[in-house]
Amino acid sequence: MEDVAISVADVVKQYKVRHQKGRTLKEAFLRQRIFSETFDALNHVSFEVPFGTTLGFIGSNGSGKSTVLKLIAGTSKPSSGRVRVMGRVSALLELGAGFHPDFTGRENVYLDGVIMGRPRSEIDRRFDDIVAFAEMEEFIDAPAKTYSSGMFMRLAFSVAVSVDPDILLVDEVLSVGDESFQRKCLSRIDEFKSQGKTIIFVSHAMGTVRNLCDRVIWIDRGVISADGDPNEVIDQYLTSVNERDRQRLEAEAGAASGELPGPVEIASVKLLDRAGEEKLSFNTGDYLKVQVDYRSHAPVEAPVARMLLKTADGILCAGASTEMLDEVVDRLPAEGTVELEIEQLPLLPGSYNIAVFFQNQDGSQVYNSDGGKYPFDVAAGMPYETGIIHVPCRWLNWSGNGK
Amino acid sequence: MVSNLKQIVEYRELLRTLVFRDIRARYKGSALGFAWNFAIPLLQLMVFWFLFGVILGVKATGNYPFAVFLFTGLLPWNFVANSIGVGVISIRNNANMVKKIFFPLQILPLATVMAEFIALLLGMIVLMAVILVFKVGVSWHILMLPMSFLELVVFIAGFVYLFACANVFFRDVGHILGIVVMAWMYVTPVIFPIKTVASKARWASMIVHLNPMTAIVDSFHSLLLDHHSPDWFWFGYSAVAAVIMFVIGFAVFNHYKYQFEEEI
Repeated sequence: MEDVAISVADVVKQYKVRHQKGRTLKEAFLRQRIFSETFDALNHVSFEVPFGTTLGFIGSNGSGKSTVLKLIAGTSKPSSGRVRVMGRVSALLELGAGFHPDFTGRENVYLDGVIMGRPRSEIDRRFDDIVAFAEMEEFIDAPAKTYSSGMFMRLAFSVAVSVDPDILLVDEVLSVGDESFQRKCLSRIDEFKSQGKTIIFVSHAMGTVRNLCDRVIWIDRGVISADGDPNEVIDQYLTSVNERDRQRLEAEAGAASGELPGPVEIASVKLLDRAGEEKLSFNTGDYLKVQVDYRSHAPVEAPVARMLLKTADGILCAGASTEMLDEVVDRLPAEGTVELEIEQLPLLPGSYNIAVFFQNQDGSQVYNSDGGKYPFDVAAGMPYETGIIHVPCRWLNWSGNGK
Repeated sequence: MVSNLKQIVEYRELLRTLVFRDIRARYKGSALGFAWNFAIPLLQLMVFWFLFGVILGVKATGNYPFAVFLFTGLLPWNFVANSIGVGVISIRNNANMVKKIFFPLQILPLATVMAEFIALLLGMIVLMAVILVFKVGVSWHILMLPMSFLELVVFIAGFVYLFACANVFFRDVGHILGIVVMAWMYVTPVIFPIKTVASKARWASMIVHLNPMTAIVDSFHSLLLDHHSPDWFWFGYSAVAAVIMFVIGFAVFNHYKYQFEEEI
């Protein structure tokens, strides 16, 4: 038991379902019964986290991930079951919760630090580090209301990570700040990790979870769906997300049947490695083949197939169409396969989607109604490179030999 | 109860920081800044002096103008009204902190009450100046004033705890209390001397006396202006009421505090 940092035993967390928060006295007296509806945010969840583990939580929105963090942080109590936490917890849940807009950055550093349970003397000692980490030296004596949201978040994050916790809770906060600040935050978290701290990490950025975590728990509708090796759990999760998306699209297509169903149906989209194994996670420079099986329900003249590669945030990275081919398909067969091969995937780590379309020549008409998004991850990339794509390059004249 | 009180001691640094945040945030960015803490009571005094002294010509009941009497009672009453007004919404106002950071929530209402208490002490400085200017004189009775402060703060802290908790679940509470506090002032000897109720209907006199705030506010008059000890019977009654109020308010608050995060 000594080496267990967090133990969650058979925890149920129920919330009352209510359309509007905060009742009035009238409602309380007259309509008592509508508050008896409950919603199980967590349903008999149990897990233990040994000291020094970096544990990731994944799952769709509303699955109960944040509820788990709240229970560990102590801001919420379980409806039944037990949560035991050994050691000092620092939660990067809501950054800058203690900030006051009228106060200067300097005053807010103290305010926020004390609210998060740090003694003033400790903040005194770390003050310069905090400000330097946030890159806020110039503005530290300006009121916080004059800060941009990025500056605000940087300072808040800097205060939050200046602690020396035994257990660090991180909830999606890494999505703040620009690329370079995010990198800095990740390296700070890495530092905690190498110091043997216990870290609980909640994120939708599968690439980051894969890189950072020793273990991943997938929570689905308040129940633990999978718990174990990051790669396995994330692949299971992504497969289920794809499956659900597909079902949703089919249901939508079914509901809208008669109304422009589109003559082409995409039966499956598979991402394959060189050996022909289906995968959802690749490394920069890997071979990747996209295999699309389709069915055509009506004659389609002179079709063009197009694939778009986008980041999870929707930035278009690349697109290719069968117009590249010299041969033109006059008419789409009733059933067939089209494949796109990428010899060396030039994407850096992150989450990406592939979208598939069948169109006419000028792109004015799309034949398939389920263009869909097929997500995949790039896990490991090129060290020392930033951005979305890998650009082969090299440095010259670094030592300054040009006189 | 004891462990919840201990937590306050444990988190005293947070309490201190929140108290100073409240005080400093209040006049931050205004031209007079901190001086408002003195300017507001002074302006109030001038309004009373003009209304009661010049326009209405109310006769003084002791060897001091009626405006001085009013001012002496209004300082503690301002503390009551402001503590309740701000304290009752202190959980909702700090929703962000309550939801996301773990700390003993009983700090929040207490911090607003403490901030108001410091405003009261600053007002007392103005009052002492007024007492000197109007040559009311000072006696050793002033040394008993800390007892009045103690009863006042304990009673109001308990009251604020109870209704800060209630306001999380029922938003009406904040609105209702605004009216209640106004009515409450008229059964407290703030704008009339306690002596005047003796000649009125017996039930009216009883209501005023049974109001725990009466003996507390009146003790300010007797200690500072009339130079005699408070009426010990009623002063003791208020002390007991203050302790009961605090125990109930604090216990109820701590019993329900774990549900706050879901409700706000």
